[in-house]
Amino acid sequence: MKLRYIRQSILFEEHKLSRIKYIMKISTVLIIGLLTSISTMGYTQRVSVRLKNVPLKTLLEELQKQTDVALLFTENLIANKKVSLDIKDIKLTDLLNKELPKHSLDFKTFNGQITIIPLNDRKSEKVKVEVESKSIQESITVKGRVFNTNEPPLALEGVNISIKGGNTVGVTGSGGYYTVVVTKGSYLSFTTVGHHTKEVLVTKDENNLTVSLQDDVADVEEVVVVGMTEMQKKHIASSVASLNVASNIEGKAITNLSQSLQGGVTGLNVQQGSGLPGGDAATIKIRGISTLNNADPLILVDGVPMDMNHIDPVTVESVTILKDAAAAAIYGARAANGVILVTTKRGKAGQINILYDGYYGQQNPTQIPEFVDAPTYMHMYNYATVASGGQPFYTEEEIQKTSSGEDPINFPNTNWVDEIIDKYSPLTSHSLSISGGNDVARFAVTGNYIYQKGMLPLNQMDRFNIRANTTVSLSKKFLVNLDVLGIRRNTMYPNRSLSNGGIRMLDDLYRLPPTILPKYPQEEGWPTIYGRYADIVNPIAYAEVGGTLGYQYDQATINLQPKWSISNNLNLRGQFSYRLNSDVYKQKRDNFYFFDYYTKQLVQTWAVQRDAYSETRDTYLFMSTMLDYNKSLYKHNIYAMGGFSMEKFNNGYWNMSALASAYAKVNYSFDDRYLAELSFRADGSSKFGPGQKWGYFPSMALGWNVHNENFFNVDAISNLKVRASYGLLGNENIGLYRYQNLINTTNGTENVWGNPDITWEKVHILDLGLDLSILNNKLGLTFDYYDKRTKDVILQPTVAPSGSLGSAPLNSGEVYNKGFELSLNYNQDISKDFSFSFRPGFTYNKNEITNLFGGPYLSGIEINEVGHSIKSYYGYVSNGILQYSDFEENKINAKVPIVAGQGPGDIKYVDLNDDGIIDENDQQVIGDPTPRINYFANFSFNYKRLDLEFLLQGTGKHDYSANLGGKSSGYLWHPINMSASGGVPTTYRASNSWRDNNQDAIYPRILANPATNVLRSDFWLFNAQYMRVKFIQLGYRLNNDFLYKYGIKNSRIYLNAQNPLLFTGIKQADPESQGGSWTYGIMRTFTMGVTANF
Amino acid sequence: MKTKYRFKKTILGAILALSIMQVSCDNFLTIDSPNGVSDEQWWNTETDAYNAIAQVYAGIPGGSSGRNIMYYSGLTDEAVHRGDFKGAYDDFTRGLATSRWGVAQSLWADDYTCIRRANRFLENVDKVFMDASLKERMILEARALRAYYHMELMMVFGDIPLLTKSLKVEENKQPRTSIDEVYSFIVDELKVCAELLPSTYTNADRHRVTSGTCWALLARLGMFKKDYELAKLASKKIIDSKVYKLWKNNTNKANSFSELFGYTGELNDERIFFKENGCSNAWTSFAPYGIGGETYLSPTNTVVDNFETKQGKTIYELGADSVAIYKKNPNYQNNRDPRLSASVFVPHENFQGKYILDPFYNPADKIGLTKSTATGFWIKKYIDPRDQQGKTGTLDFMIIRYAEMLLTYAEAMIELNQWNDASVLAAINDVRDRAAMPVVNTDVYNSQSKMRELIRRERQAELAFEGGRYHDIRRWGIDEEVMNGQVYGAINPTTGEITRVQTRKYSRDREYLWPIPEVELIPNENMVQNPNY
Repeated sequence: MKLRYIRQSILFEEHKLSRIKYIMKISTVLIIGLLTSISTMGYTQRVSVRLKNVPLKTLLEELQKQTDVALLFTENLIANKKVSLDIKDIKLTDLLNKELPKHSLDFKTFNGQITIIPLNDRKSEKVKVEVESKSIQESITVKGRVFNTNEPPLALEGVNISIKGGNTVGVTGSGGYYTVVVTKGSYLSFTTVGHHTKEVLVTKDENNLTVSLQDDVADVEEVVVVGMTEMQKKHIASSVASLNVASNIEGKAITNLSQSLQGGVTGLNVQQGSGLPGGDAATIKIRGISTLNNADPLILVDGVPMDMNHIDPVTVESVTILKDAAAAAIYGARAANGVILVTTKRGKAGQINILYDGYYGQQNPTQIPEFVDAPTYMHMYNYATVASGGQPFYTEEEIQKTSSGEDPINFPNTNWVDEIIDKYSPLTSHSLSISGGNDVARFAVTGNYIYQKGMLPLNQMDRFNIRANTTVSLSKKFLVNLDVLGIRRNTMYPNRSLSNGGIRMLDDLYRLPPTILPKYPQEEGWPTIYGRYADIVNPIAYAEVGGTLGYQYDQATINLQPKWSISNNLNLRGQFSYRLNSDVYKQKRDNFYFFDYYTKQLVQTWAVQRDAYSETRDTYLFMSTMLDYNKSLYKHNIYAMGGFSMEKFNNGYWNMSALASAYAKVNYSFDDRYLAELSFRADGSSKFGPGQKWGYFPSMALGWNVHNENFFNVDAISNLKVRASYGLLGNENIGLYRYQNLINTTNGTENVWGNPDITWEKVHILDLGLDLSILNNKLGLTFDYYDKRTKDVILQPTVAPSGSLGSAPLNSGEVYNKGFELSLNYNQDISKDFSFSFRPGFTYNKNEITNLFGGPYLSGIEINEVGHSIKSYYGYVSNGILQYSDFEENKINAKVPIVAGQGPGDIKYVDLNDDGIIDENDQQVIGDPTPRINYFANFSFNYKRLDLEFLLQGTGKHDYSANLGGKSSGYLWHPINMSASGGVPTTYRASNSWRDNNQDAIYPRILANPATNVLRSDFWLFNAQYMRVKFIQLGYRLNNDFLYKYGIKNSRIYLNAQNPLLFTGIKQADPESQGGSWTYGIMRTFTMGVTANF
Repeated sequence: MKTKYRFKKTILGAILALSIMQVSCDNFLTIDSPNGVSDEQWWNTETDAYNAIAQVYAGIPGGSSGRNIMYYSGLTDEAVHRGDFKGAYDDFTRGLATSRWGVAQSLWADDYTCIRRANRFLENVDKVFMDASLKERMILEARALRAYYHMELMMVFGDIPLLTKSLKVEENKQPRTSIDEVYSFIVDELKVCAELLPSTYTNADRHRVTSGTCWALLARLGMFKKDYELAKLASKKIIDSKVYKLWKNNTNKANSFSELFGYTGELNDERIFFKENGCSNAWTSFAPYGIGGETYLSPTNTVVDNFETKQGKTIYELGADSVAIYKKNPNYQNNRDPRLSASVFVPHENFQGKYILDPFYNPADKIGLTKSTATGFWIKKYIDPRDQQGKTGTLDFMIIRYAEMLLTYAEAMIELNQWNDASVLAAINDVRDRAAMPVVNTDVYNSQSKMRELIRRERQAELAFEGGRYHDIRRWGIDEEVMNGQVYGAINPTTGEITRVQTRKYSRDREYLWPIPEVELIPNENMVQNPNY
């Protein structure tokens, strides 16, 4: 005899609307069942109860123990209801009849089950049934089967089939088979307890109408993808978070999946460094940075490491983030920075479902630089050169002519931003998925095309993505997943250097004076003559005759996953995966001759460029076998698994690395109260030398579901779990052959400096967590504190260049990283038509270097030093701007310490060591680029068919350095720097610069040789704290009845705005993408989309 | 039962798989670099030795490509450097060079890289099977180059670590060796090589170190250390060897000097030490913006005013009126030392007969425009019109040429107070004659100090922008005098105003030696910084 409790929670917010409907439906069906059912022996069983002021639920559970009738009830129905009873030997039904009406409840019996229902349902449903039955139409016969959505699907018996909102017309029998006769054009409604109701329109005779019903489970019963398996939330003792795919992906104009992780999961710092089409992937850090090396998390798509940015977001079923050691340890050597698991959608047994999802939109840059016009530029240029000991360059007459615009050819006033930047550039995406299947085979095929135009000429990206996930049940015991993925991504850029999500054409805007003419009037016998600055820095020329840089990224993946169910409890799984990446590059330009307009001298030749080569050709091979065992015995629930895997990466031609692993995991829970997880992984990596190849990574987690304890009697709390975990993870992300010393095969020069003892970085993570649900599951809370200690951090100690020895890696550093995360989840149904939810999250993280051999390590403005955060900023401390009052009468001799050559209007540096001079010894750590606080809040409102959702996302204080070495990136803050390559002031910089008539300006004077102002100092650090509205989405579900006639089962149209609003103190840059003059900032995107099911 | 049996089988299978895996794992997990070898495997053939020593040669500096000796002009009163191309030379002249100064840092790193390569060559070449005499010659080449790289460092940094073997990791914290010790090492090494190396090579080997190269380097060293006997001895060896001769155009003598720096005179016998393709991007570096160059170095009025008239007189000997005329129009009536028009483009000069260079009013060449001249003058040496279209070429850079040796000889003799030896005038007049200049007027130059004045002017006229003046002004002790204050350019002929370029700051206490790079100081606690940095 099976004991079944189906607890239904109305809290499961994304299904909220359907839930209300569902509850009504279930009642309908059950009432009908009651009317037609035959009394069963069970109902007359006798019971005895003695309880005092206990929740109604306790009573029902007690009754359940005493009878063999399945008692079904929804959690919300009986919440907050108390009973006191002292009755002996009473018939079950009598007791229910007596007690339930006191709580406005009723019950009904059906198929040996008793279902608790609201009191009033009976009557209203009766009326409806009568109305419906009046219509008389042509009859059709529909046959088919009903399954659940599990893999493999199980046939569902006892599923009630009714005409939508009316009579029951049938029930599925054994094997899930059914046959019903209904009028043509009816909606069949398939209902069974514990599953979502499904409606299907039938318009003709059907011989095999397969339907699958999705499980409807409470939050804690929800199954979550965790390392190498799936588990119910209530059994998880480690720190695992799931992304709300519906909220963060669906309908959003995201071009890279990584962007969708921003806001929604605590502990993540996601920064989109660029909006460049084809280069706009976000960087993800899980729980901050705890190594000086690669801190990127391991990302697995369907079990295989992969660049998540090539995935079509539409195909994503779930995204899980494994944050602590216990969750991630099963991935051992690569899990130190956290693990992100992406699973893709699989076909469900059922009718063929066609889903179209598409949007069209416009992108608009969030930051467009605004530069001074030509006359202002000319004045400032003269000021800057004179202040640096030179002489004025432009005469007053020239400035006057430029200003009046009387001679636009010889004295132009060009707005380069208007010439080049496309303020609205289109973005569109179209996905079509076909899915369906039966108990033998299921499939889901999705094709996606995305096109994105850049704001710069010639810049665009398009991507084709096709995924076919198929599942074949070879027998009841043997199942094979065969997934095929093909991606082609083309990106094109103007033929100008690319770097880190930026492009030099943008830098050109900061460099190119408004006094340059884009193009001179065409003259007979001459090629087009372009305005020329330095070595033809003219974006118009680059756009028109500069040619293109094109990349084509191809990927093909096969993922084969057989599963053999040896018994009900024991499965043997295998996985074989093969991936081929091939990226090719093409540079194309025809030759072009540049002449000087005035002298007709040849000044530059662009030679023909036909450069094409293969960028990368990577393959990846993965094989694994795994045995898992699952057993529930009385109150013990055990899950155990173990397996082996081997992986081989081929990078380029013959660069390879291999990983062999063995792993095991045991989950144990007792009575859903005490939870324990143990996992262990051994990894062998070819990246390490003999004797150092193997690393061992154990972890343990303990959990306690306090709310399931008898003594715990707080009604308001429906879930309370405390968790603790500790474990060891590794980081092997160190590059190849680092254990070898090698010389060049051609000339014998040393080129690889190795350390034969090099080994894993080891990360110890302690996690303490709490999960809480209160107010009838309306409010959920998750809190985690963690403490990460990384040892054996791989360092590249700096070596004295005099020996000209290369730096060999060394395991020596230690980093300490700790923080906490808090997320809330609040749902409220105000009325039948209106509900809302609020999901905020807050993350705090801080890292500190605790040991650093050979340190500090200084690289440009960044320093790694014991006692400070990783990659802190290092430089001078400033104290405003030097004024006349700081100097003697002659304006040269200073009363305060200065750097040689400084004058009024330059940055005033602090003499930290009080030796009277400002020199290199007056530097210190001045800032930290990593935000300690990350937060977000998702707001969602539903009113009838309308839904509105928006996401706030932001970070706390951190430093943004715009003064990257005072060179090209420095144009932003150091225009007209003739020691570098010039530069044009923005209107903001110009109007806030120190001048004789603007002595209380924020920024120093503009100099043609600003050498002392470009020093790395906190003057050029800005607080990059910000809050932005990440998206606002307004959706409307269209009237089903109307569209049904056109074969559209349901559809939704939506308007979406990504990054519409930003609150920050940062000037001239986006606080998220940061960067300098090369950076292609984040785009604001407005889209209109539609999702339709056929 | 059946299930149980199967279960057992699976377990057995798993154990079997595990053991197979363990066995094969070591093989599976051993993946060495596909394209690296070790010293034990590599040093075998003559080709290996050739390729290895080529890497020792790789570090010798070019004029405008690679490491750029001509840019050192920007550290002197000869020229002004602008732009961020090739390093922050300008910072040095403003007293802003610190231990992060890129120019010092790259010289330090490049030279020590090559020193290590030379040491490794010397340590490993014995393993190579090759002709013994060839091997011996290569060893000498490597020793000479190792000495040369030490010499480059010593001349700007002073005391430096002297490295005669490739350091092991644990040895890589070398202290500075005193300049005298380094000096005597270099001298000894070069003397050995000078005696044993061949005096010439043919074809592809022409760029290699010869006996003459070693003597020339010794001559430079002697001048640097004011060891005039050494300088005299070494330069005399070169003169007496008769291997080298000045490049001359016998039909049009006045063209000789300018041809020397173009393709016409590229394969000359004046080269003692040169870098192949060392001026390949001279056009981009120095040519006027209006004809496609990106002028990073602009000559000052000092270097222009230094040239004599065709009659062999300085402009200051001619009186104020003449000075004014020549300052306004430096090549007035084409009456200046032909080396002026071979070395410098002056305002209103006609390039190739089709283009007037006007730094004052032509929008393409205006003074102060980015990549245009900063002074109104342009460097002309190594600017060959054949490079205009492609902007890059194949011109070699002459690190040391015979004319310098003649002048060094003369200067050493003058400093040794043997100024009235006939060979002194002969050497100077040889150089002047090739430039189509009259012989020295012995009525005027009739004392040691007058001869010293002459030789210094002559050196500047002959060797302008070739990078040597940086060391000249330091050893003459005039660095502080010429490297401070306002720098001027050309005079605007229309307005008569002189171009003000920049103000400079230089202190002998500090800038005489370059700063030891920070990247050396941090990991090497035995390293000491030079004074005042």
